[in-house]
Amino acid sequence: MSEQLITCQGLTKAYGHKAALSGVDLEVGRGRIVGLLGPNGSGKTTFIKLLCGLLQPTAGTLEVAGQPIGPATKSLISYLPDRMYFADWMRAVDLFDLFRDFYRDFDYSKALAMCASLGVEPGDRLKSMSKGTKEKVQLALVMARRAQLYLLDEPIAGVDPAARDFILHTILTNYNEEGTVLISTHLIADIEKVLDEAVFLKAGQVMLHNSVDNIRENEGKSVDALFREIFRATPMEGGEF
Amino acid sequence: MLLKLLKYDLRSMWKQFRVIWPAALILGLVNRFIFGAPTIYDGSFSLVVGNYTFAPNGGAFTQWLGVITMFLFFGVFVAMVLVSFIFVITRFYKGLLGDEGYLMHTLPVRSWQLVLSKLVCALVVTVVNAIVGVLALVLMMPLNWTELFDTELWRMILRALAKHPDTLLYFFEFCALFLTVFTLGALVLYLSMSIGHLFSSRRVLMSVVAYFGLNILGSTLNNLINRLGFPRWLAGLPVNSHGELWISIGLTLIPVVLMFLATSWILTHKLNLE
Amino acid sequence: MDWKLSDDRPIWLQLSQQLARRIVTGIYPPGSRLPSVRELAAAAGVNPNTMQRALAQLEQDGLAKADRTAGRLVTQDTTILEAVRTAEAQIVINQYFDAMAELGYSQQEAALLLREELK
Repeated sequence: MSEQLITCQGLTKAYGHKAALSGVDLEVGRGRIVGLLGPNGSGKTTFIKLLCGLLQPTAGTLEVAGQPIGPATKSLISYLPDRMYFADWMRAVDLFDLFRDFYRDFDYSKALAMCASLGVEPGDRLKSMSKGTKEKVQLALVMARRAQLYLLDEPIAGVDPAARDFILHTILTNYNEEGTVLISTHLIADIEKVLDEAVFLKAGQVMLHNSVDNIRENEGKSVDALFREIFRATPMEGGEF
Repeated sequence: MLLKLLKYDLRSMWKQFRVIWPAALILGLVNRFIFGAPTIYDGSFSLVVGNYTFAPNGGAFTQWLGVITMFLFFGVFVAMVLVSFIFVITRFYKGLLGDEGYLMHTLPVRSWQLVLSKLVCALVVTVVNAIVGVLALVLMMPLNWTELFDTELWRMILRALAKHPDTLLYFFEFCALFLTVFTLGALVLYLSMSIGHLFSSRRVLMSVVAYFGLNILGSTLNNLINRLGFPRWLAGLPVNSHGELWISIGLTLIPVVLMFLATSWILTHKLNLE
Repeated sequence: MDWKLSDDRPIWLQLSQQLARRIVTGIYPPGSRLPSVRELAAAAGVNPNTMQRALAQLEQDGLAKADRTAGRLVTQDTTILEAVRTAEAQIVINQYFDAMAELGYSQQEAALLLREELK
């Protein structure tokens, strides 16, 4: 088992001529909750999709648990996308069946218990549920796995504060403590206290990667305040910070 | 893993067709009652529903009804082909290159397994479509059903088969050829969509362009092979017509395999779900 | 007693101070078992690693000790408890003087005013 869970070197992803990520070097260890922080369009979603193999890098290398992206890494990763990914006909139980078939670390009874606490009837069609409920079902699906790496793409965007607390509580009480949780968001104030580490992305480059405690100690301010400071300053050269 | 994928894809298929298939059969039956005119089996037709006996006789009206029935035959046939065609496209496009692709491509499986599962499912749909189509036609036709199961009729068929035992073999060979050709057709669609996916914008348009491109390429190669004297070569081979059929199937399998590999390769190395 | 986290200091430090405050005020009485890291983390809405660090600090300060059977017990050592209580009091007193200084009172004036208040 390699020491770092995520390692990437010179990771670059370009769409046509526009680079969404350019030359990202990053190492993330195990057993942490890491915030992938940056404004919209800074490359957060691109990075997450590269990790789960939905995008292919233009240049550079990317490894999860010492292996290149493929079926082996996909079985370690539990991914919450920024959209609904189920077919029209599916009920929550159909998704649970699918996950049980494909992921050995999926805990079926936990998923059902989470549905119960959400007030969701697992036999109901997903299509007939409200947007918020669908998102919660997907969260239950993702958190019911004992994964090595959870990739949560904007889990708290566009929900009310009560739902936000619920989602964060669900993540905190259900994730596998030996695994790492990578949460992308631009709403830092809400998740700052659950994070171990923060990674700042700006225009496709890593500006800062440090523990939240260190940031607070060194800067004497919250990660959120630092974030606002950095991203308000325009224009600023990327690279070393 | 492939079986698990198939389970999922077949379930997905069943949810789409569980209404259409019985509906087609019921429609066939309903048509029989409405237009149940003796166009083919003149005179011998009669049908008893409850206390009513339908025994229409010939005439201009029934001939007119016969034309409508023929249109319906044709309509059912076209509908089934169209449904298969749309199914092949949507299950691949929505299921692997759309939002559902986020689910399928993050499963711990290989791309070729995803493609194969979609392909097998498409074949199943086509075969069941063909069966349902034939059944609907049989139901629709003003035949006397008791005659259809008349043991004398079946005995005749068996006797004919005994005389020409390879008829059955021909039947299976043609089925195999049909399935191979259909697989080729489905893979042309898959590969076209995958090629379209390589572009960063106008993916649908590029898919259509790729589809025509592949078809032109296919017919050009076909012409080339024919001009190089393939039919003469085939005729010169020391095989009977069964052998010729198997050679045709084998030759069709070459582009099938190539296109399957190309589609899987694109989905493995060039996937970009945005 | 809610968990209050401010922006300027490391979270684990604030958590360990608030845990200490809970111990000296008797919310977690001497000799009792502290809730698990997971429970505390979920209640405070923080990362379990952060809560772990805060609890480690409590152990280092002698306010809690790891139990053999798992979990942590609040200390029964009254000298330590008393010392922490005094330190907490000192913080409150300093806060008072700081606030008064902002209003323009010297420490002597502030002390005088306090004595007036007590009469």
